[in-house]
Order: sequence, then structure tokens, then C-alpha cells
Amino acid sequence: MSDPSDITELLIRWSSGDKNALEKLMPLVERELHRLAHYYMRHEHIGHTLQTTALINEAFLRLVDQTRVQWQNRAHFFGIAAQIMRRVLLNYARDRHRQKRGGHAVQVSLSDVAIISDDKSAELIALDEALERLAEIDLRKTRVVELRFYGGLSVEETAEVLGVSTITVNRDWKMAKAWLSREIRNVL
Amino acid sequence: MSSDQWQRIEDLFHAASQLQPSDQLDYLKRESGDDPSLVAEVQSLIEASNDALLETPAVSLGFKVLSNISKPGALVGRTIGHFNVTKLLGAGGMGEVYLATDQKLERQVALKFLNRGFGNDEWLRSQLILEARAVAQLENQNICSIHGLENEDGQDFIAMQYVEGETLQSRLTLGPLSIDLALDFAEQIASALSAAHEHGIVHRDVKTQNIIVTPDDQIKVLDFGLAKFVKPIEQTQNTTELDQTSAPGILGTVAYMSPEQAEGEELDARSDIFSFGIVFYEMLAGENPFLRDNKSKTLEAIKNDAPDLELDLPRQLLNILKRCLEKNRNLRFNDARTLKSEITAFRRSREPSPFFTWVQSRNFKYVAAAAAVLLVVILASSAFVYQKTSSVHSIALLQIQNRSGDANLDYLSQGLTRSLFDKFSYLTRLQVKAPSTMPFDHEQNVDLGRAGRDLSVESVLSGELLKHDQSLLLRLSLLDTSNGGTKWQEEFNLDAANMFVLQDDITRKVVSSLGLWIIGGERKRLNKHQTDNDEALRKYMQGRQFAGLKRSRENLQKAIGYFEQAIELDPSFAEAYSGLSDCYAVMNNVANGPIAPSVAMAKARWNAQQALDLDDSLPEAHTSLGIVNLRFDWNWEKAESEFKRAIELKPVYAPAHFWYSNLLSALGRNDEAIIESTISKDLDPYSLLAEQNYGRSLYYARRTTEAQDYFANLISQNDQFLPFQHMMALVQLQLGHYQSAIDILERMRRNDPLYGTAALGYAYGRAGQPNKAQNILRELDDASNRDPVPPHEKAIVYIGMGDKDQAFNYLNQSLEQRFASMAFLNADPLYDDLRSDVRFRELEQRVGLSLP
Repeated sequence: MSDPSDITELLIRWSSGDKNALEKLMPLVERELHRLAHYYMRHEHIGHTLQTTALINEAFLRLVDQTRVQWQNRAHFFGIAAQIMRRVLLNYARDRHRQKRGGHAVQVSLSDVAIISDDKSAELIALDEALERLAEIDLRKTRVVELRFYGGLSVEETAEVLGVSTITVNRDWKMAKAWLSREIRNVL
Repeated sequence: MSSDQWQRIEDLFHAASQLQPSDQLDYLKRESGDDPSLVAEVQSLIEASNDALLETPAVSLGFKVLSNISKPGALVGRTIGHFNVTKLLGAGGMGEVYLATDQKLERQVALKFLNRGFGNDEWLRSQLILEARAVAQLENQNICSIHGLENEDGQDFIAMQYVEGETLQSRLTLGPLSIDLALDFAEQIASALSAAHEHGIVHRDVKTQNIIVTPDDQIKVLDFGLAKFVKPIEQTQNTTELDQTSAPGILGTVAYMSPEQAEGEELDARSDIFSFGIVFYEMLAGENPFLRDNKSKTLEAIKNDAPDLELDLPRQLLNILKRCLEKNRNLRFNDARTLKSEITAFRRSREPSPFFTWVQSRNFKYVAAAAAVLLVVILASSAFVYQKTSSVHSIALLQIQNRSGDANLDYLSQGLTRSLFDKFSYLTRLQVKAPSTMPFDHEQNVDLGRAGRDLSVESVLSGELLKHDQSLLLRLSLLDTSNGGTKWQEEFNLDAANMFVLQDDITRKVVSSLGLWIIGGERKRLNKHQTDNDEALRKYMQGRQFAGLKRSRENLQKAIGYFEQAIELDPSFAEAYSGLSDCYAVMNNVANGPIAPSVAMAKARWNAQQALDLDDSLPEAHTSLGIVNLRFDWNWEKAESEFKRAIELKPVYAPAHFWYSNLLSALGRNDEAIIESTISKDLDPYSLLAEQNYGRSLYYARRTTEAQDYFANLISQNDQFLPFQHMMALVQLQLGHYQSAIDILERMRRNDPLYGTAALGYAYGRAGQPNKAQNILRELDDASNRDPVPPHEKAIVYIGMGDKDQAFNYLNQSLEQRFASMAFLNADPLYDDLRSDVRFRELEQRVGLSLP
């Protein structure tokens, strides 16, 4: 099922509104991101030339048959990657938080070499919860935050993904940042 | 909140943010109609908007987290405390073991980490501590000793003795052991278990994978990861803290479980005795007595089936086996010490009486006579040994034919051929002619007699895949070329076959049919499996199959897909990375793929490096890295050392010679290049690419008439293979036969428009037909609208037309984009017209080809 043509097909279907396609697509994209992440971290010492958004693009180039997709599909791909990043970070932060709460000072596996500080973990958890609430009020703003913050997309790219103008993205971003900051202040 | 309200808040927020802070309150009051809650809401937002939240995207953090979610081999290359992790030794369900250098003590150690995700963290941690404590108590030469329980960077791991050797499992893939060796091993295993049992430790996971055999046949029992302290029987009710560890689900490998383990009952030393019994049985009989098609059937067999003890073994030995394998633990040996003394006693009973006792018991006359007889026997056997060991047998392995009617199985016939060749090539007394490991070889139908004669070998191994009554069969025949007789023939059912077992089985049978046998060091290399994952191996075979078909975009893409799947299944499968590398390395020309050289080569390099990180002794990986250095880095020294290393590791690896010859041609070392291309061709007698490569090395050496004769001969045998035609056209151009070159190239172009266009333009230019050459230039431009066309293609046409300025212009572009062809700047006769120009020397310098 990881045949590139299938991923391409799924992406096209998701882009045109097929919700089921997303479910199948997510694990495939995540696996590729996982692989690339290993590559990136391993070779980080060689040079810091690799940009992380370039890695997502790399995942896109590797997984998707370029001759069959349009720019909208690429945008959707980035949207998926951003959602994956959001979930990965949340899970990680939660794990860490749980461990701390459980009082186990000693950590067990490599994943616990402090990549994320305790403060940052708490912030990520609070942010995620605030985003959930924001989604109920204004879904588009949540998407903007997802793409920009978790996906590392520029304003222009975000506009491309959501099919809105850059002015709208800028306004959404500013408002969402203010709103989320205030919500988090109340929690942290 | 209604969307109207929200919209209103947002509008006010944006508008007020534009104002001076001092004006904001008035504005908000006015605009909100003096709604205090609305004013407060917007004010709190404006205030919070200065927070630093979300300023740095989390994407790079996300990648860091992703990269740290453990994956086999993830630690290779890292330094953890004073340990420098160099290699993944093994990965299983429970954890990973790495080879590392202890930088303080400058010795090699094995580091054992437990996998996250196998249980909860606390449980894992307790397991690791338990194992360390258990083994630390045991000082036994048959137990791998522990250096310490370490904690670095917040993680626990065990540093333990690194033992070089192979697992008993891999040793047994070549069949059962002799009774004496099996007894020797059994005694050592029992000794290890006995030390554990005396300390109240039950291993709980005795199996052939957990037993290491060193090169001098010493046994080391590993992996007390499931070990459990047990209290003496009277105290078992009173469980201690240590005793309470229980793993989620059933632990241990199913096929070596005791009946009580299969039932999930409380275990004691007698469970280890049962598992030992299975291992012992396997050493003697070559197979696990309870292994069935699947887990549940295997468990059923363990619980209910009596082991087949109708073996051709001494009764006393069968009794020992029987007592180990009793379903009722009360009937087994009580512990390993009793077991060990039984084995020792039986071994002693088999030893012949010492010679001097025998001499003493007889008078001198008999002794003298007996001594003479002995001498004869010794002489005879040494002669026998001499004859056997000195004979080198030559064999040709033919491509296994897929006659199953299912083209999807091509990968299997080709992959099996390839891996059998790999296996055979490790046998020093077998001189193997390879079928083909390079592309374009697969549709050959070879007459066996002819093959044998052509290759001057003593035997020919041929095979075919067949479908028979829904079953997939592999039929192999070993033919004696001196008389045409069949030395051996057998059919293997592939439906449920494990590829590794199958290959080992075939190797063993062929070797013994040839009257040879496998010696110690060879066995070790033979048993080195590329991957333990059968499915990954099949994907890899499929990848190699597509990479080996006519090199085209579609095939290379497919190959890449398969290699990636193989890596998904087994991320430590070094050869799959090497396969990926080789695909990317040839993707940067018109016919093979629209990828820019820098992109293709970055991928090729990364994958080659990955393969080497995983297995530094892999000839395929060194070759892959050499290709990248030759075709992209233009680092000739590095490329040469990689090819040489590959050849040193595996002298019969044809692609290493193939690519090395290319390097030598590029460097103008033509005599050596011709030698290497000859070797590659000989190793790979059915590879058309290797044939082409040999002719090309003649062409590069300016031995043009020889090249002409050579290609004429090849084309007379195969007029379908375009690279031969292309080379012939280039040879014609060198000979000044422009029209003949044009005829060939025009004909080719009708078959495949991607082939030889530049050469045709050059030919028209030379033949004084500039209009037609211009047409070709336009065609190249058209093509470049669809896909990037390497600029030197146009340069070549301009050379033919005598336009040096344009030629240099485009050559410079190709050089900047680092197209592989630039490596052959010096070698390629097409550039001869430019050589006197100072600009050409600049090009040479930039490619690193000019002499200082």
C-alpha cells in the first residue's frame, strides 16, 4: 500500500474532498516523515543546510507522482504533514508530562533525552487544548495556526493551501496568536 | 459565542491594534457602544498579542521528536557516554543490541537497549535491571558476561562482553551437527543453564537465536532479558518484589516454549530444560520437532504432540532427549546440573580408550602390526584430504528461468539466481561463473551444453520455476559438462518456503553433490543473511529485478518503490539502501529520469552511506559509494578506493569491476580499464551491458577498429539492443564513416526517440548537413520543455557543426549542474576537436582531470 501511485491517488482523492482518503494517507505520510527525520537528525552534524520545511517537501517528492498532481495537492500534502506534526508533538509532550507527574525522575529510553523542556511540554499541551476550543469558534484560524506553526509554512503557502488571500492569512494569524496567547496565559 | 460576536471582536481587535495605545480605549468604548465586556475582551487580546507564542514554528521540533522515536539502528553513529556506537548487531521484539567502542578502555562491547513500546517504561526498566543483576551473579564461561548497567543521557542500558561468532540458529541452517559436536555444544549450554539455575534464575527464553557459537566452537548463552528470579520451591507463595515482574502477553519465542509456558503457567528451571531439549533436538536432527505452519499450531504441537524420536541416534542419547521433552515437567530432569552430568557421562562413554591403554593390553607384535596399519590409514587419509582440498571445481550458474507463466514471479527467479551466486562465490574451492548481476540479462535462453563449453566449466547449475497443481516449484539440475550427465536434480516447493532456509539448503546440496564441503570460515560468511525478514528480502529481489531490466524511468521508479518497501520492513537491511543508491546514481540522464543530478546524487550518496553505516563490509555498498564519487563528486581517489574495497571484499562482484573500469577509462588508464571491463564481462557472461562496457573501454582507448569488429560481432548476435547500435554509431563517427553513423542513428531513433539524438546531430554536422543538425538542436529544445535535457547533448551537436563557442557554453552548463558525463571529458573522443582550446583545459581543471 505504500506504492507511490496509491499515495498519489489518495492525495488527489483527499484534495477533492474524500475524507476516507485522509485516514489512509496519514500513516503513510507519517512513516515517510519519520524516516526523513532520522536521516535529518543523523546528518545534522554534516551541515545545517537542510531546512525542515524542505524535508516535508522532500517527503512530498518521494511519495507523490509529480506528473499527476497539481499545486493544490501539494498544499494539501503540507496540511497533512502539519496535522501529523501537531499530533506527534502533543503525544510527546503528554508522555513527558505524565512521566513528570508520575514522579519518575529517571527516564528510560532515548526519546527522553530532553528534546523538549518541561515548560515547553506544558505549553504545547495547553496550546493544543486552546486550538481545540478555537476550532469550535473559527476553524479556519485553527488551520492557519496548524499550517504556519506545525507545518512551518509561509504566509503565501498557507494562503495557497486554504485558498484564501495572504491578507486574510495575516489577519487570521494575528488574531489567532493573540487569542491563543491569552487562553494559554489563563492556563499556565 | 455567535459568529457575529466573534467577527465583531476580531474587527475591533484589528482596528484598535492599528492605533496608538493611548487612543485604543476611547476608540473601543466608542465603537462597542460602551460595552465593557467587549472592551475588556479586545483589550486582553491586544495585550496578549505581544506574547512570544508561536513565533518559532514547531516543525523542526516535530522532526526532532520523530527522529527520536526509536527505530532499529537509530543509535548507530552516536556517542552515548564513553561509548561510541558503531553497528547494530541485532534487533528483536524486546530490544536492540549494538556494537560499540568503549573509549575509556578501548575495547569493543555490546550495548543492549530495550525497546520502548514493548511495555510501559517502568516495566522495561525493571527488566533491564533484572537481566543485569541476574547475569552479574553468574560467572560462567558459557554466559556472556556483563560489564555494567549504565545510565547515560537519561537512559539505561547494559554494557556487556562482545562475543564474535554466529548464532546457533544460523549455524544450523546448514543442517544438523555431528553427534560429537552437538554433545559438546549441549554440554556447554547445560553448563550455562546450570549456573543460572543454581542462583535461582530461570532463563525462560532458551532458543537457538540466543546461543552464540564463537569461531573456536565455544558457546555463549545470551539474553537473560526474560530471566526471572525464582525463590526455592517452598517459598514461591511468598512473592518478592523482583518476582512480580510479569510481561504483557506470552514471552519467549513460541517454537521453543515449554508446555507450561504455552499455558501461561508459573515457570521453574524445568521449563528451561524443555526448551533446551528442543535446541538439542534441533542440533541433532536439523529441525525443531514442534515447529508447524503457524504459531497456534506450533503451540498445539508443544502441548500435545510427542516429538518424533525415530532418529538414527544412540539409544542413550534418545533417552536424554526424551527426558528433556516430557510434557509433564515432573518427568523431566530436575535442573540443568543433572542434565549436564547425563550429557557428560554419555560423552565419556563414546570416547575411545586412550591409545596407550590399548598398547599396554596387547603384546608388542600386535602393536607393531597395528602401528603399520595406522600409518597406512593416516597416509591414505592425508592423501584423500589433500586431493579434496586442492581441487577447485568450476561451475556456471545459469539464470533460473521463470516458467510458471506468471511474469510477476520474474523477481523470484532472478533474485534466487543472484543470491545463490552470492552464496557460491564465498566458497573458495568453487570457481563460479555468474549468470548476470547486471541489467539486460534476463530473457536469454541458454543451451546448457553450449554454456558449459563456452564457459569452460565442469558443471552447470540450471533451474526453472514451475507451476504444478497450484504449487510453485523450483526445479534445479546440476549438469556435468564432461559427459552431459545429471549430477543432482531436485524440486523444491516454494509455496511456504523461507527464502533463507531454501538458499542454504540448496547451497549445501550443490556443494555436497560436487564432492566438496563447507569449511569453517566459509560457513560463517554463508550464514550471514542480508535480512531476517523474508518479506523484505522478496521486496529487495523485486527491486533488483526492476533495476536490472532495461534501464528506464519506469523500471527505476518501480525498483525504488520496492527497495523502499524492503527498508520499511527492515530498516537495517543494508543491501536495500545500496539498491536505492544504485538506482538514483543512474537516474540523471535523459533516458533514465528527469531528476537533477544534484538531487539524484544526494539521494544516491545518502543511501550508499546508510548501507555502509549498517554494514561496512558490504561490497554492494562500497560500489554504490564509489559510483557517487565517480559520477558526481569527481573524487577519483575516493571512488577508486571504494571500488577496490568492494573488489577486495568480494572479488566476483561484477558491478564493482564494471564501474571501476569506467573510472579507469575516465582517468585515461585505458589498459587497466580494459582489464577491469574484461573481468566484469567474464563474471557476468550474459550481461549485455557488461559486453557494451568492454567495447566502450576499447573505444575510449582509441582502439577504434577493434571496437568496430567487437560491436559488429555483438550486433550480429543481437540487433535489438540499442546501446550496441549506439556504440557502433560512435565508432563509425570516429572512423569518419558519417553516413553509416547517420543510418544507424536514424534507425535507432525510430525505435526509441530518447536514444542517440546528440550523436545524430553531431553526425549531421560532420557530414556537412547543418540544416539537419539544426533540426536536432530544435528537437533537443522541444524535449527540454518536457524534461531537463543535459546541456552537453547540445554541446555535442555544436561540436559537430564546428561552433566551439556554443559548445563550450553548453559544456559549462553541464559541468555546473555536475552531469555524470562530464567525468568522461578526457576519455570521450567526441570532445577531441575541443582539446587544443584553452577553454577545454579550464573545463578539465574544474572536473579535476587535468594533471597538475
